[in-house]
Amino acid sequence: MGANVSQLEREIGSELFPPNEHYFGLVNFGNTCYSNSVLQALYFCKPFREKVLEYKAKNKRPKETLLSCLADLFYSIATQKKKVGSIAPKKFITRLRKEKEEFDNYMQQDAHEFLNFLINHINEIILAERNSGKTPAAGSSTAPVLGSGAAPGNGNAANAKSSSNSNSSNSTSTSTSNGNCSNSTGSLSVLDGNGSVTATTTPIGQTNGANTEPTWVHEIFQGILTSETRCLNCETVSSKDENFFDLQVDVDQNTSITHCLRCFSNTETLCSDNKFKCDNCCSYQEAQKRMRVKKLPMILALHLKRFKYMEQFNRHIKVSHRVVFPLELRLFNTSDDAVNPDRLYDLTAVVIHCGSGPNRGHYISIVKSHGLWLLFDDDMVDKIEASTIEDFYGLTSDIHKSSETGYILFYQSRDCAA
Amino acid sequence: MANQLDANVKDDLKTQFVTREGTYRLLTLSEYSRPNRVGYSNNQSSPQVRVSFVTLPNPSSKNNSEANVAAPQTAAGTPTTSTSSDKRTQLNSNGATSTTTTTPATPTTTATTTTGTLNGGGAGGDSNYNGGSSSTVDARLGGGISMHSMTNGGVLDQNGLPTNQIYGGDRICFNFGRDLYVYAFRGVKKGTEMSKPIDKKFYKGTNPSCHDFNANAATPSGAPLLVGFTTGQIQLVSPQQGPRELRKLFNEERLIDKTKVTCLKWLPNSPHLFLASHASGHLYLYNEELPCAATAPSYQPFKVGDGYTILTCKSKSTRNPLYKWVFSTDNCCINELCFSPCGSNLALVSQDGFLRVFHYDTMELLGIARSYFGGFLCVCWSPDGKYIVVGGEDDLVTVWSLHERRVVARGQGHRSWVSVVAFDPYTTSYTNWDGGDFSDDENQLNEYTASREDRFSGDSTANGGFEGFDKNSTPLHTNRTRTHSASFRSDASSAALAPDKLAISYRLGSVSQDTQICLWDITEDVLRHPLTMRQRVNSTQLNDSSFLNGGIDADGIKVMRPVAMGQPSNFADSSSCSPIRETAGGGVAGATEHSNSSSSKFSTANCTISSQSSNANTPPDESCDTETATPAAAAAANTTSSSKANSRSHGNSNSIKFPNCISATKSDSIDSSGPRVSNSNYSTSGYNSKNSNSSTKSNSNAGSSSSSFSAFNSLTQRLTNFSFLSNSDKRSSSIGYEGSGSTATNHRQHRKAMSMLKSYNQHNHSNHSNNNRSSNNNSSSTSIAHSTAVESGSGAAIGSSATAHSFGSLKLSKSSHNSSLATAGQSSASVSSYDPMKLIGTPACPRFEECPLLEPLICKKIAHERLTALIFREDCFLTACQDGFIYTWARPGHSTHVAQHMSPSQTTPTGGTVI
Repeated sequence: MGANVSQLEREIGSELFPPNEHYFGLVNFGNTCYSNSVLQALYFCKPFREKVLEYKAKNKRPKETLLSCLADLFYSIATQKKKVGSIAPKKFITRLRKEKEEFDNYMQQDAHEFLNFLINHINEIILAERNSGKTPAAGSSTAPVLGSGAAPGNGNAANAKSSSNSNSSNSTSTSTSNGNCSNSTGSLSVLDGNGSVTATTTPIGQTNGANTEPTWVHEIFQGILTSETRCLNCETVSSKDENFFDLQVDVDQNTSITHCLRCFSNTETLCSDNKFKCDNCCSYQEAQKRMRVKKLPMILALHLKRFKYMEQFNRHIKVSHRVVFPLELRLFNTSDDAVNPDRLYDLTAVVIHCGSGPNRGHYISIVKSHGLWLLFDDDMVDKIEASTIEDFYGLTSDIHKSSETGYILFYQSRDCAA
Repeated sequence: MANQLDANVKDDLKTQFVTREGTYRLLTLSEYSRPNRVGYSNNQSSPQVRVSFVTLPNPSSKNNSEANVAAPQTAAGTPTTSTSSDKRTQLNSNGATSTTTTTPATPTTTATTTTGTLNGGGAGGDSNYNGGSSSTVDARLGGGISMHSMTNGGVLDQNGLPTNQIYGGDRICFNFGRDLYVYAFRGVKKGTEMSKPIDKKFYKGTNPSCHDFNANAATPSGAPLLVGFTTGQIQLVSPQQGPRELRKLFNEERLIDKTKVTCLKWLPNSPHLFLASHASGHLYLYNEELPCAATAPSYQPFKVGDGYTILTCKSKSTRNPLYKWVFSTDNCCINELCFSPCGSNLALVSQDGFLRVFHYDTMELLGIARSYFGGFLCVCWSPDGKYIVVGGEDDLVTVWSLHERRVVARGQGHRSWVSVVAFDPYTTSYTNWDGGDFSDDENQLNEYTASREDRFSGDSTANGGFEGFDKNSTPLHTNRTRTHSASFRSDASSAALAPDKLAISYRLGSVSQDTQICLWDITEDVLRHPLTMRQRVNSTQLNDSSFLNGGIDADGIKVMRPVAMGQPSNFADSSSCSPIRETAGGGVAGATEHSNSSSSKFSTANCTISSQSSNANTPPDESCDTETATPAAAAAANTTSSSKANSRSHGNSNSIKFPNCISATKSDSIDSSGPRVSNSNYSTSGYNSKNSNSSTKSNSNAGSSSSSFSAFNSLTQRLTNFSFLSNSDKRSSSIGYEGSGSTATNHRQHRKAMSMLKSYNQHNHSNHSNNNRSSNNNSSSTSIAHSTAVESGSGAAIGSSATAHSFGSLKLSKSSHNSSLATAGQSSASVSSYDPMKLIGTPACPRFEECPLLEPLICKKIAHERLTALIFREDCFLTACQDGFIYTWARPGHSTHVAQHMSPSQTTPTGGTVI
């Protein structure tokens, strides 16, 4: 590996090697590539890394939490003397296994589920520390007001989906269980444990009503979706805001992520069993609903739902569809009152799943750092050309069961890059 | 499993579809692919399958054609008895030779002078002509790659003629993986002879990535074919009489560029020159007659433009590359380049998301556009050269107007990246413009009843680049005149002249990685549509602030660069672009007159609006600006500047000027007779700037606001516009009456205000440096309202403020513009910024809701793999797919060959071929 390391340095060239940057692989402790790939992606999401390092600087002797372990890990990478190498995230993995029993084994885990858990958990830690440090007045912020709680206002399928998702972080079933409701509409993953839903037609200012102040996790990852429902009887439009930490999109063959996101916001008609309870009509009515992005997050994490539950096989099948993702992205599916609809995103990291199914295979990640693209495969780091990204779009044919496909995309807003 | 997942898509491939002109049908027997089809092969990461097409002169007219095209004689290296020693020397020197038996016995005729021009390396290889069957050649190309070539030479067809001696007709070339095939394209009447490719080449160590036939040097037996490779080399294969060919290699040792060749294009009207773009983002001009020296080229600057630099080789003798273009943005790998039909303008689209349009001869940048996001992948000019369509990674088809320098429409319909866009010149409708247009006719195109024979019978030699429209079409339109389409006058006699013709509806096709083809109709009413005024207020404000922040954060350069894209000011200045002017400018001439008249009608009112419209379509004329318009321009400049000054309180000089400008304003209004004044106004408001310093770069901003108005040709629209006169008046900037501050009210300008502010400095500088030209550019510089401009215009020339200066110099140093070159460059235009964050909301990249959104006429899934080529022909169109299949689709009324395809000649492929 030493040879490998120096080779990377040689490839990049000493004069081009970004100052104060370290490219360190993460040692695999037995199927921990799901964690390694996500951690690398997060490490190269600059705002996130900075906040974690800042946390480390502020909390000299913290009680050991997953966040403190993460901070130690990031700090350790960032302060290495060598430019490249590898490091063993032993403490982090140990802590992770303590925190969540689903991860306490040597099985392959779902990288998105891990990301989901990690972000929510970090957020909870921050809130908990804030509360313990200050008055516990903000206690409500940790009390989950889950989507299901507020859902009665809009009892419909999409809400059911989202609420089931929001619970998914506590359940062993993977988020892919949404796969079976695979219509053209993507489902929303509400990762925010803090009350993903507010009362209907709540102005944006009150969105976080339950939370006193957003944490830096909110600032980085949180966006707001607004779901607009138009009752087909009285034509009243009600809208409801929901926070999200990432968007889960269904994938179609030979499409772009742009298209998948547009589908995500396609209008859906609520009828038959899914009728909408209209407050105006005071009854269940057919309605049209669509979800659009109202506040665009600083880092937009897109989860491609590549593991679909297929009933006939009674298991999850990997969908290797070719879904292209550009290096630059704007959203088309923003709401009319969106705060920052023109936000321009740059692709900064991709977690890639290699293999044929959710519980086997391998995760790697590619990240962009100072204009270079790097591939992190556990403890190995390689420089790649941007043109090789197209190898991770997926397959146009299903003949090959195994594929290396983009699974989680991290887009970072350009206005925060500087 | 696989089937399950795809069950819903397997069977829905379309083999025909209907548009209003009829039914397009897939001709299953006119399908081109590799001769020996195998099952699935993974070509996913191979280079895009591209298709090149050429129509060879007919043998019957052979003499004529050769006389006309002197090129082939030299280009194709018609066998001459030059010394064979050249050849030998070369072989010896490279030592590599081929993998097969070297055959010094190669007829001496092959060693033409052209071979001699190759520099020593492993070029060319040698050919081994096996007289009996197809000739195969192995050749080693530079850089460890080799070629195995099989020309279907010796095979005799039923008539006893060598099959490769098919004279005339069409040739189709496509690449697949490491292979390259050339077939005779047999059109819709006959099926494909898949087993008889004219030529096929297999490369080792590299893949062909692009290719282009030289139509100018075509002979009845073939046309020179350029092939570019993923490893950077470029091969030129020239047909000769007989089954042999001449090959040359450029960049064979990869000394010029190591990256993939992304696009190759012969220069129009030039038999020897071609452009090659590489993934590195550089563009090179080669002369196929010149050698590539054995040393890496060392370059010296030749011209510095706004965001681009042109280099030339520093060497005693002229060598390849003749020129090298370097662009300032990151990742600007040029994905495609395309010459306008008149041949004078060049459009480039690149991975950085920019469309750049150059006047080729002067190498001046005429304008830019930015994708909504992601790279632009493909580009195509409208048949009349007035519009450019680009497609890219934003899944959109974007229409850009050359005259207005703005994005006029976007099309949304694809589900993935748009890989090819192409205008269908045969379905584009034209009419005459009589100037008296009241049309807002959306219906005019509703029917397309004309029989195609009528429409396409004409030959369109009159219009250089575009073939296919027909004089007869005009009368057809006439017949269809409706209540509101008074504008379409039938004037068959004048119809032949391009300038009198205006396209009223363009047919556009696009194919995408989503495996679908979309057809679009772009009608005049869309193209004339102003930028939408409706805005998200919130977003605007927010944006503003974000701009502000961005600007602050950014480094000096960003700060300096104003927003918008450049509007070319002196488009016409250089006058070089004659063809385009003829078509374009000429085409608009009618409109201009018209607008004049209208302006006179409304002269009592401030005529800025109407005149603007005329201006918008007519490139600002230098003389006009200088002579007639100078005072006005100055006045306008003053006003603008003052208004700006007010709103921005930009410095002393401005405040000083203020009084002047008021007076100027007055004079302006007095003077305002007609278009000239308006001209100045026009430029003032919008179209900015231009001037540029030699760089030229100057530019300015403004543009967007005015652009929204600029486009109106139809009186109705203008009238409508009039109704919002007050509003528009403000915008027009200038505003002679309103003078100060009015500009600020314009929200669009407002948005840009930040950048404008910044642009002042830049402008200052540019004006300053170009003092001598400043009068000419008055109007343009005024657009920016820059104080300096005012000064120069009025002759005061007080000099720009110190700040402006320092900024200017900063800019200079930063972008290394050579001001000494400034004079060389005519002002072109001006790009103010290449920062997409600043371009959003400008004419180069309107916000999504600001721009008319087209929906496809049809959108059909026609393949399982991504589509990679689309070529419109008179009786059919072709699509290519990444799986290596090229499909022919008959136009309505042309799908007759089904009955014919079984003719013996096709079904009896002779043996002989090929693997």
